[in-house]
Amino acid sequence: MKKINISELCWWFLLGALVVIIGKILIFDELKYYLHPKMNKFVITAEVILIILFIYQQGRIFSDSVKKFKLGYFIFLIPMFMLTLAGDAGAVIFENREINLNGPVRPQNPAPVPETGEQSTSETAEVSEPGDSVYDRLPADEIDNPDPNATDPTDPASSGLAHIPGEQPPAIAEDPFLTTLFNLNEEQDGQEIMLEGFVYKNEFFKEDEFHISRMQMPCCVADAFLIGMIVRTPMAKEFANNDWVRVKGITRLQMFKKPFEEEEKMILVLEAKEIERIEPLETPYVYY
Amino acid sequence: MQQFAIIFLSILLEALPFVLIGTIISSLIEIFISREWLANHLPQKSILAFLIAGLAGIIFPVCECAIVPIMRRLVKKGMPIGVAVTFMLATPTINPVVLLSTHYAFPDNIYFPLLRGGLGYLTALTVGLIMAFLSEKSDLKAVKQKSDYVHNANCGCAHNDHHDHETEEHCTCIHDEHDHIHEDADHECSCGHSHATRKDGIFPILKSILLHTSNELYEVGRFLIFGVLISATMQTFVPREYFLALSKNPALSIVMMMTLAFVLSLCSEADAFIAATFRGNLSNSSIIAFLLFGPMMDIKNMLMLAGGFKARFIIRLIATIGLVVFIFSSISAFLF
Repeated sequence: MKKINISELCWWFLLGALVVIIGKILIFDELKYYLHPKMNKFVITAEVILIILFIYQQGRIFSDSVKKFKLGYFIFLIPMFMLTLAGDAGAVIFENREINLNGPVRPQNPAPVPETGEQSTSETAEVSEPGDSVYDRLPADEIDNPDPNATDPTDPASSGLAHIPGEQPPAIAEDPFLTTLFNLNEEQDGQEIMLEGFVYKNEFFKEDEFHISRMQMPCCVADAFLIGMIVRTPMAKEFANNDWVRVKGITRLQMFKKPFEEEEKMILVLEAKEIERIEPLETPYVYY
Repeated sequence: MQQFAIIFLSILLEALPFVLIGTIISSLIEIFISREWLANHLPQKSILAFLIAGLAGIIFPVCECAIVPIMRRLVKKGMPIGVAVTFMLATPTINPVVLLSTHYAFPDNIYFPLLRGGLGYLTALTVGLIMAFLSEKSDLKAVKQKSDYVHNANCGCAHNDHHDHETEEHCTCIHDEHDHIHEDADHECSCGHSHATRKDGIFPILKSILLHTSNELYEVGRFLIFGVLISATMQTFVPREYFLALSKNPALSIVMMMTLAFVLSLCSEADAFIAATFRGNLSNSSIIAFLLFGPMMDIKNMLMLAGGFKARFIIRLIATIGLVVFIFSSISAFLF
């Protein structure tokens, strides 16, 4: 009877562990908390390759190759340990992230920016024409009286908020948070919008300011950064970091001092008319 | 710790598919490309070899995770180190996917993708040429004389004299388990694995590909995991404000951004989006430094290289890349 080759057996076990880790993440649809959905096909490919290697390795458990046990095998146990530590990955809002205060830009098929003529710095509210954002093109009562039981009112699949009749849905459903930001004219006062996200504050913000944020994931969580708008409201101090809020307001071109910049610059901020706390959305991430 | 674990898994999940693809390509090179073929097909005029290696990235869109195992295998097969370095540095920097993502991240400034492509190519070329002068054969890690690398007496090798595959004429000098050459032998070792050549049938070849991929995965994977561990630590526990605080000095800000790119170990297809968040805070030249240095060298690449090269080679390589990127990034300040 052939002897078991301990070294090959260990490697077989570790390959199996990698298969289980990735399989668990794929089967329970948790990959979106780690990677952009565009990466799914690569991870599935990796899983298939690992399964093939795992099956192949099974035949080597009884091989005669002379190999010592390798200490390097222990390193391959780390991913298993990390998976147990990660827990509910969808509920975590990260610290130590960059914040994009330059204004979001849609990477493909950029929305046309209407010509505005002279840049306005007026404090007078100039209400935008209907159709500036997904929210604006919806019936008014849907914005004013959102369903309090909805856990994710911005989820296109659950509420139809993002579906505009006559428009082709994108390949990966764009979050209304992003759609609203993308459709903003960055040089125009008075656009009335609604955003849902979490509160982000740091020492660079004044007392009446916070950033309504989501984490934009270009590729993986390690690349994620905060995207959103500066909200100005006297109620800002009532909200702490990571509180989930729905903010309705009007955009204003106002002076703002970005971190590590010496001079204030004119940027589009959201002057809040109404803020309410909401339940956390299914995910803090938005993807494009 | 939860954030740390999520970042660790996300970088690993992002890198693993490409490392696996890299190991498969490495296995195919091992089986289908002989030293003789490579020697015959590499341009005889060495500068042409550098120029072509630098351009390979355009038709070979592989990211930095996949390129290390491929580069290791090519060096093992006899590609000059300088040429291999140029290939390794250029491919993840100037490939079309990376340049397109850079364009998306900086849609209002065409200089960023153009400079990333142009300066990336020049940097890869320059570093490759410098490393050709600086590196020696002894920079490659010698195979350790361990009993587990020596075939036993029942081996059916054609070259069964003493059965030690570690001798100089057989050793290909990169430390992995398959450094013994079997190209010219009908080989069925008792070491438990077959070594197919392109002359063999489909099944021996497939078996050999699986074996090489499996072994390469172990060789590269352990360094990858260790690198990801360090990168996740830096991402979680080192406040990025510390780096930005140094941004007032132009030269220091370039060094700082190269350091940031090194420790964050971002994918070259996504790092432009992070770089874009620094606009306004930092000079364009320091952002170019971030975009050039990151794909060429980071913690996980450094550790994956450590599997095949000596520390002195890796230190020289990092220092050379840093110096060349610093010079080109500084020059780029005049181009914006």
